[in-house]
Amino acid sequence: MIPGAAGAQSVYDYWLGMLPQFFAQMGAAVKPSAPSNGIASALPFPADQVAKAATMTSDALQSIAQSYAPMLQAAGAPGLLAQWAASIPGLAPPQPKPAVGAPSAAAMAIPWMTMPFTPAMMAAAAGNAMPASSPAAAWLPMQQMQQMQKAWADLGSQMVGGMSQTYTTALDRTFGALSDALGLGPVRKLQASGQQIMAAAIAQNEARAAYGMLVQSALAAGLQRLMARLADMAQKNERVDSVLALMRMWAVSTEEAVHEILQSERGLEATAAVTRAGLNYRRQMQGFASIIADTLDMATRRDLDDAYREIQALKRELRSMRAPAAAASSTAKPRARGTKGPTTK
Amino acid sequence: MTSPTDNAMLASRAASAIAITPMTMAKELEAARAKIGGGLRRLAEISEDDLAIATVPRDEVWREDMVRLYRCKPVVDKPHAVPVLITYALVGRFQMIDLEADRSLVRKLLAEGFDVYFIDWGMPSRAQRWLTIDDYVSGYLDHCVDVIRRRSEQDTINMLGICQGGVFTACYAALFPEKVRAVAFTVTPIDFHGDKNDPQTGSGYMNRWARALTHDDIDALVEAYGTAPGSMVGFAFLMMNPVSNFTKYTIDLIDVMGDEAKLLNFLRMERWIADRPDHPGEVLRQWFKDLYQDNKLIKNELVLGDRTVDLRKITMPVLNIYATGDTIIPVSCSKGVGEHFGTKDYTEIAVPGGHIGTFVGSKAQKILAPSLADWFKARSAS
Repeated sequence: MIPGAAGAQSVYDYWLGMLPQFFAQMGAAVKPSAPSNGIASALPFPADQVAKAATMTSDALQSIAQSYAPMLQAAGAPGLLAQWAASIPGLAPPQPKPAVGAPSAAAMAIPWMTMPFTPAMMAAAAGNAMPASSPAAAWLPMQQMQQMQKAWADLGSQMVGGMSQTYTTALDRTFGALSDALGLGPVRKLQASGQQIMAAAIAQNEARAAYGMLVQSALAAGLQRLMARLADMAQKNERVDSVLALMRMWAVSTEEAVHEILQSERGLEATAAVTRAGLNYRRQMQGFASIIADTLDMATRRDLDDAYREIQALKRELRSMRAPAAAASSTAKPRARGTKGPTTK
Repeated sequence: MTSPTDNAMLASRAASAIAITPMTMAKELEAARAKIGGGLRRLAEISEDDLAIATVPRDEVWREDMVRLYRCKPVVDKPHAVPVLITYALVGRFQMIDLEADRSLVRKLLAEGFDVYFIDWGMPSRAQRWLTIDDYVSGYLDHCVDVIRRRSEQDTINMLGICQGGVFTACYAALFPEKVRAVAFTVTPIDFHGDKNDPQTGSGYMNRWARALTHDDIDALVEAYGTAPGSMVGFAFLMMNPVSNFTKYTIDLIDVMGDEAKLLNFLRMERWIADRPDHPGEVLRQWFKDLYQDNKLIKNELVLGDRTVDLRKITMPVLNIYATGDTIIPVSCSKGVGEHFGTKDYTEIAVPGGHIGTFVGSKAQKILAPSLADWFKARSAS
């Protein structure tokens, strides 16, 4: 195991967890975690991860072969493009439906990239693979995601604004002084902190949804680009006869569209908003944890940070004291420094 | 907006460019699956030793906290008198300079007769949360330079900075010019707002993302995390090209799995990519606010400790190497910055490829090390 592999595992979990959605975009059904013939677990890192990815790819290719063959037989290339386009509103060409038995792209069209930048990063940082640990957020089609987001917002507004606020105020007026007298003040603090977490979670979900919409539009633009590129090829009498080459063309077209949209002003605004919301959520969670730590008389990260800060300040002071001493002792040729602190071999 | 009719016409024209038949598709995908199968069998035989990176023989000559200074064992009887110190970035590990024996900047410099040292910044923990850029430059880096000067009995040494390590090296050369013989920067951002004048889609995402945030956002980021987890930093890099990162583990993997040499190269690179150190929060704060957001380095306004970094004090020879396909550090952030240095001996070289390809790409390999070697040799003779 390499030093950073523990954190890296979460990044692999994220990307490999998203592979079924990547392939679903092309109409291939792949299980979220491929067994990889049992060899992956015995391999050194990152060969184990690559084995998983390769096995999932192999499975996906098999699925593609099974689903595309009857479709190509029945409807030819238009059927294939129809399947790819079916997941993008407004882009589906009026072509014959895919053959019976082929996976419906519309049904499988999972917005594989709709997990926003920062929450995904934060999940990775926290050691969570979002697709695995947060399926509801990452795997649902956009429409369902929006419905869920609305439900979240409704629930949140009730908890934060409506009834719960009334109850809180009433409880506080009735029992507040008593709980303070009994040393139960933190309970009220925790309650308030919990409400802030809820509000932050709602804001984060809203920012994620906005970002997800943007990514969805990038996917649509990517497919549009692919179509334009293929039409251009047709005009030049060029043909693509490889399904893998076609997939690569799709990837290049989509990457261009993603870059264009995410680097646009609204893309950067959405990313910044999702970053802010994610950071606020994390800080609210930290605030909640620190209330508990204070109550139990446990050292918090802030206590540790304060100690580390002081140590670092002392190190700087030591360094500033060394510098004049070294200058005073130096001649034309550099000489050995003191042996305290840094060790020279 | 295009109408459904337009889209239908476009799709119809597009479909006429596709000449995939059920038979050719079946053959192609079967062949691809066979390659993957062969690759899986190869993977089953791979050991830790096969994946070892940065194996150049070396001695640790100094250490402080998590930082180590290594001297590579010279491969010639009498190396050039003036040593070269290579300083890599904090966002990745030094192994990139010696990824594989035949893709190693370090080994090539050794073969050219240089006495090569490099710094391993190590894996900062929460305890390093308060380290600043000044702590790295005026602390660790200065200590390393002094150790090398003493060991080599040279007043000045040659320095080679890479990316973020190039910025540290530039700061060092400006603050301690008396200890630097000649300095080379590779894929190093000097003008952090250079991309504004030459915006390229798909390039400089980090620049734009950082500028879309406020100072308060950066403060909140540092407060929330303390040290930025390595996995988060790695994820930020991967998200610059999200679709490519899917094809890398899927359709692009097919050819890799079908070729033993490619597979080993791929795995070693993946091993390097995965090994991301945590990033000290205060460095991150200064990096984003002072550099990405306020572009203070090129304005000679960057303050480290109680001193201002003035690039005009870099009066020693400067070699600036940038990668023509670099999307992480846009070319416009590195290229054409010679006038900002105080030196009269400024050279700029373009190498083909991307940010990392500069060090491991086959084309860049033919240019990078020989250029560095010739340039350093010419400036170390006197």
